Amino acid sequence: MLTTSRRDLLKIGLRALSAIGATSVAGRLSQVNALAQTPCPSDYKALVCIFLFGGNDGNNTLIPVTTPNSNANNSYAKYATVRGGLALAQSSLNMIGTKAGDQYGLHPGLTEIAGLYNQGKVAVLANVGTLVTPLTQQQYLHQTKSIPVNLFSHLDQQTEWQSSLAQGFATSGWGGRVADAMQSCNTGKLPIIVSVGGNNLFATGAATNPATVTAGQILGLQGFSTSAASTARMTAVTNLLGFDNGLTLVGASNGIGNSGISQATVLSQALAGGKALTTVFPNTSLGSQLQEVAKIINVRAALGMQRQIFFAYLGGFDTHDKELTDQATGLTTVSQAMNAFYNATVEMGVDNNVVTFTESDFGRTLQPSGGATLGTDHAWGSHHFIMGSAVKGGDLYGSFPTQVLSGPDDANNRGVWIPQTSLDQYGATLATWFGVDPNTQFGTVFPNLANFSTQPLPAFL
Amino acid sequence: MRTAQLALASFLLLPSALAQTVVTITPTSAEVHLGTYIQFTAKVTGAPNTTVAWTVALPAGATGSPGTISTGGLYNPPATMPSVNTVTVTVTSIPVPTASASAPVTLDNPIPTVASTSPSSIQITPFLLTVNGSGFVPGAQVVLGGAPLTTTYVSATRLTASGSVLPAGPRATVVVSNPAPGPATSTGAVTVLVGSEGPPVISANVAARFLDQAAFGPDVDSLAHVRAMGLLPYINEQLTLPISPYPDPSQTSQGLGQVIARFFSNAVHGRDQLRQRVAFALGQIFVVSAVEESTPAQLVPYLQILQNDAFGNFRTLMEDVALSPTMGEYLDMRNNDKANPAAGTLANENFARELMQLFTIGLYQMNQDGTPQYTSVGFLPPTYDQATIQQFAKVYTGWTYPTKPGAVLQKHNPAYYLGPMVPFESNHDTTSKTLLNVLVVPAGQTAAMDLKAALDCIFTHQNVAPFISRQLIQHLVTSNPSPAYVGRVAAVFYNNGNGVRGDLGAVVRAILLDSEARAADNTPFSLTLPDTSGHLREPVFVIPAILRGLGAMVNDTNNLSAQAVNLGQTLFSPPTVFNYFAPGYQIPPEFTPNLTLLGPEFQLHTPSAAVARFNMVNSMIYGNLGAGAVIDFTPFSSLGNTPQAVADLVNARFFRGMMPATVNNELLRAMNAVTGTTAAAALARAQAAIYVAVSSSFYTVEH
Repeated sequence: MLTTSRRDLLKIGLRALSAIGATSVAGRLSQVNALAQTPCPSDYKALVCIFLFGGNDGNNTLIPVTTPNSNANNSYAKYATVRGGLALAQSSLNMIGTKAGDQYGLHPGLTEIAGLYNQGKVAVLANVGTLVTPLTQQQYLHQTKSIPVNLFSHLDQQTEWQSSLAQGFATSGWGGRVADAMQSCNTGKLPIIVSVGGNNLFATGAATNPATVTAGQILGLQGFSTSAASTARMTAVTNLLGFDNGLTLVGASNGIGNSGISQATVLSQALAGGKALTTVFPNTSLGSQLQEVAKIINVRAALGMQRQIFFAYLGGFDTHDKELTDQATGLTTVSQAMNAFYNATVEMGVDNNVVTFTESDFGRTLQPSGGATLGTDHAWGSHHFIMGSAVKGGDLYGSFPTQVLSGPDDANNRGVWIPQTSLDQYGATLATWFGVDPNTQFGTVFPNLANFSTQPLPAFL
Repeated sequence: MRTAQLALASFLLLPSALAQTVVTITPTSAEVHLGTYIQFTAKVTGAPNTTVAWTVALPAGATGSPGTISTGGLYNPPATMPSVNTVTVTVTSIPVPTASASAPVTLDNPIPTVASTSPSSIQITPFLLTVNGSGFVPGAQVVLGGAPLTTTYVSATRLTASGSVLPAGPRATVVVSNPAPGPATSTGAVTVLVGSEGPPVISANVAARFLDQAAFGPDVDSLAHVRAMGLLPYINEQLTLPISPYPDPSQTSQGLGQVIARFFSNAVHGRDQLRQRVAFALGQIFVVSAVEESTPAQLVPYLQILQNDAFGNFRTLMEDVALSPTMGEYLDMRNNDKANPAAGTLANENFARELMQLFTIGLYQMNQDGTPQYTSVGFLPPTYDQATIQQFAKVYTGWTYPTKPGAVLQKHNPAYYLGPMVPFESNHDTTSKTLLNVLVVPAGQTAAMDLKAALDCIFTHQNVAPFISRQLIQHLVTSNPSPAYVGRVAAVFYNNGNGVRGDLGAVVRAILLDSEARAADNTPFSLTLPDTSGHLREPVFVIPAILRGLGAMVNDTNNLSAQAVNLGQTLFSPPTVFNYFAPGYQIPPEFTPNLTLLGPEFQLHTPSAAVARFNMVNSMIYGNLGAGAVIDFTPFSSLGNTPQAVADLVNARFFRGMMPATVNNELLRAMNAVTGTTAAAALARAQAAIYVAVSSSFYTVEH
C-alpha cells in the first residue's frame, strides 16, 4: 500500500518544519465559526506587518544612553563596552526621549523613524519575543516552564513570530486568524489579507488565505483578446482550471490559479479607477511593496474593504559579518520606506486608520562574533516599531534589558535577551485596536495569551 | 585651528607634487577575447590626489566600437570586432591631466561554445549538421570526431557543416574552432550519435515519466535512448558521462549572465541530465546564494563542487563544501576568529548551526525512515542544543581564503576562490570541544584535525541518511514520500551494498528505481495514481522541460532566467540559506481540502505567481525568446490542419501518452476555434494547443 496515511503525513510535517503541524479540517472550520464577527464596525482600519527576515539586531537598533527611569543599570558606556568594535558612536545616534525622561538613541540609519517618533507617530516596544508563558531567567535555565521550540533557528522563530504559537504545531498565522475574525465585515471579493511578500504563515488563516501581489508586476493573464479563437482558448484554460481528475496536487494548482486570476481581475478593475498618489516612495524592494500597499488602500472603497491586513518584508538582516554596513543598509531602507508609507497614509487621509508594525526572526547576541568584519549571532528578544497617527507614539513600551553578558536578562553568556513581553501581547494590542473582541475571540486568535493574563497589554494603542 | 593647519600643509605640498606626478598602469599590455573582460589598475605617485579617469580608444581611422571601461578600470571589449583588433586603454590623473599611462590591448575573437546539434545523430553520408552555440565568427570551423567538416557561417549562434565520412562511433565529439586573431576552440561535452538507438526495451510512457524525474523532462533523443537502454543501464551510463561544464570564470564577462545562461543550455541539451538534476538538488540543500556570491569567480567553483560530487561520497561533499571559500564567505567560516577576550568576541556560529540544521541532520532525532522519534510525552528530542553549536563554532575557527599564488598566508587572506580554504593555525581555537553524541575532541589539535573530527562526527550521526535521502526524493520524485520509501533509500545511504556509507550515486539509483517512484508507471493521470505522488515543477525546471518537449535550440546567449524571475525563482539566488522553499512547506488547506500534503515548490506558487506562470507560457509560445532560445514549431504546425494529430503529438511530448480525455477535448476546443487552412492558421492551432497544454495544472504538476 503506497498511499501515505494522514497520520504519517502529520509526522512528516512535524519533522520537516517543526512548527507546521496540523489540525483537522473540521477543527479548523469550528475555529472559523467561533470567530464570526458581529456587529461590524463602520470605519476603515488596516494593519501592515513588515517582517525583517534574518533577525534584525535590536541591540544596534535602539541604544540606551541615559535611562535612569527604565533601567538604571544601563548606559551608553556599558553598551559600548560589551559591543566593542560593533558599538555605534554616540554622536551618530538619532536621539529620542521617553515620556519618563530617559534618553535612547536610534540607529543612524533610522533618521525618518526618529523624526516620526519625535512627532508622536512611532512607538517602540522593547524586548518583545516568542514566549509560551512568562519566563524568568531561572525558569529558562532550569527549563521548569515551557520554552519556545527551536530558539535561534531562523525558520522556526519566523514561524513562531508569524503564528504566535511558540510551542510549535501551528497551521495558521495570527494575522490570518485576525482576518478570520474580521473577514465578514468586508463586502468585496478580495481576501482581507494581501501579501506583497509572497506566501507566509502570518497571512494564512484557518479560513482565509491571502491575496498575493508582486509589486510592479502586470496583473492578470496576458495574450488574450476578444477574437473567437482567443475566447475559445480562454474557455479551455478556464475549464481545465476546474478539472483535476481527483488529484489533490492538480486541484491545489488549479485552486491557486483560480485565486490568482480572480484576485488580479478584482484588483486591476479597482486600481484602474484609483487616483494616483503623489507621495514618492524610495526605489527599494520594501519601498515598492509599501507603495503597492498604499495603492490598494487608496481604492479600499472600490474594493469594498472595511478591514485589511498587509504583509511586506525585507531580507538581509542575518548579520553574522559586515554588520555595521549591512544593518545600516537595511535599516535605512526600512526607515525611508516606512516614512514614505506614513506620508502616503496622510495623503489619503487614513493615517489614523492604518497601523504599521515590525517583526523579525529574533534579536542578535549583544556580544560580537569575531572575523575580518564583525557580526553577531542568533539571539531572542528584540525591539520593534509601531507606526501610525493612532499610535501613542513618542514613547518606549516594555522593559529594556540590562546590557550585561550573563546579566539578569541573558539566556546564556552572550547577551541573548529573554523577552519580557510576548509576541501574543504585542499582537493582542494591535488586534484589539483592529476590532477583534478580546473576550470572545482572543482564545482562538492568541491561544497563549491567557498565560499572560496577570500582565497588562502594552498600551501603545 | 587644526583643520586650518592641515589645509595649509596640503597647499604647500601641491607645487612640488605637480612636477613629480607619475601614473603607471597594470598590466602594461593585454590580450582579451571578446565576451570576456580585463581589470586594469593604476598607481599614482607624487600627488596627494590620486583620482584617475579611464578611457579606451581605437587607433585613428579604425571603425567600430572600442568597448567600454568603467570608472574602476574594468575593460569590456565590444560585442563585435572593430575594423582593427587593437585598442588603447589610457588612465589619466584627474588633478594633473598631463600625467597619464596607456596600455595596448589586443582583441581576440570570442571563445566559441557549442550547445547542441541538429540532428543529434547521423547514420548516412553525406550528412549535414546544424551546430547551435555562441561566439561563432566567420571562418569558424566545425570539427566532428577529430575531422574538420566543410563549415558555413550562418550567425554568431549558428553554423552548418557537412561531411562525407562517418566518424567513429558510437558517439563523436563536436567542437568549433574560431580563426585568428586569438584562435580558440570550444570545450564541452556535446556529441553526436553515430548510428541509431537500438530497439526499445521499455515503453515510451515509462521512459517519459522517468525523464521527468531523472532529467529536465523528456526530449525526442533522450526518450529514444532511455527506451533502448532501460532504466538501470541508463542510470549507470549517466553516472559516468562527462560533465557539461560551467564556463571558466576567466572566460566570462564579469557578471553571472553567461553562467546562468549555461545552466539553461545544459539543462535543455546536456547529456548528463541526471548529474545536473542531482547537483541542483544538492545546491538547494547546501545553499549558497548569488545574492551575496554574485560573480563567476565566486559561484562557479562552488557549482563545480556540486557537479563533481553529485555521485560521489556524501562525506567528500561535506568536506568540499566546508572548505569552499564561497561557502566560507556565505556562512562566515572564512576568517572566523577564535575567541578574543581583549576584543570581547566569540567564534562565529553561522556555519556551525546551518551545517547541522540544514545540510546534514536537522533539528530532531529521526528514525531511519525519516519519521521523528517521540519521547513518551510526545516531545521531539532535539539533535543538539545551543551549547553544542558554540562548541562546533570553535572547531571552525582559523580558516581563511586560499592563499593567492605568489602571496604569503595571513590570518585573514584577501578574497580568493580557487581551491579549498587554508588554516592559519594561531587563529584556531585549540581548546577541547564536546560535539554531538558527547564526542570530545581533545585540546591541542590543528584546524584540519578538528575539522576532520567534526565532519566525521556529523557524518556518522544517524539522522544524515534519512535527512538527505528524504530531501533528494522530494527534489527528484515526490513531495510526500512514504516513510517506507525514505527508509529503503536511507538503508542504501547507510550501506551501498559494499559496506560504503554515503555513496550518493547508489542513493540516487535507489531513489529512482524504488517501487514507490515507479508505482505510477503506465498509470493514467487519475486517482489510480497514489494521490501523494508527484510534485509541482519549480520555475527553473518547467522552462527547460517545455523547451525540451518542443525540441527548442538553446545556447549561451539565452535570457531564459528572466522568465523564472516573475515566478519567484531567480536562478542561483535563493533569498537565504533556507533555499527558495522549505522541505516541510504545507500547501494551504484551502487548496487541499481532503488531504494534508507537503508541497515545497508550492511555497513559491502564490496566486500571483500562478498567473505569472500562465504569462511565462504565453511569452514562450507566442513571444520571441531571442537567438538564445529558438523554438521551431514545424513538427506541430505541420499537423495543424488535423487538430487531433496535434493533440496526439502534444500528448506524446508532454503527457507521456496518458493525457486525460478532458484535456484532449480542451485542446481541440482551442484549436477548432481557429479558422482557415493557411500555414498561419495551422501554426495558430498548434500554438493554442501547446499553450493550453503546458499551462495546465496537469502539466505543471508532475506525477
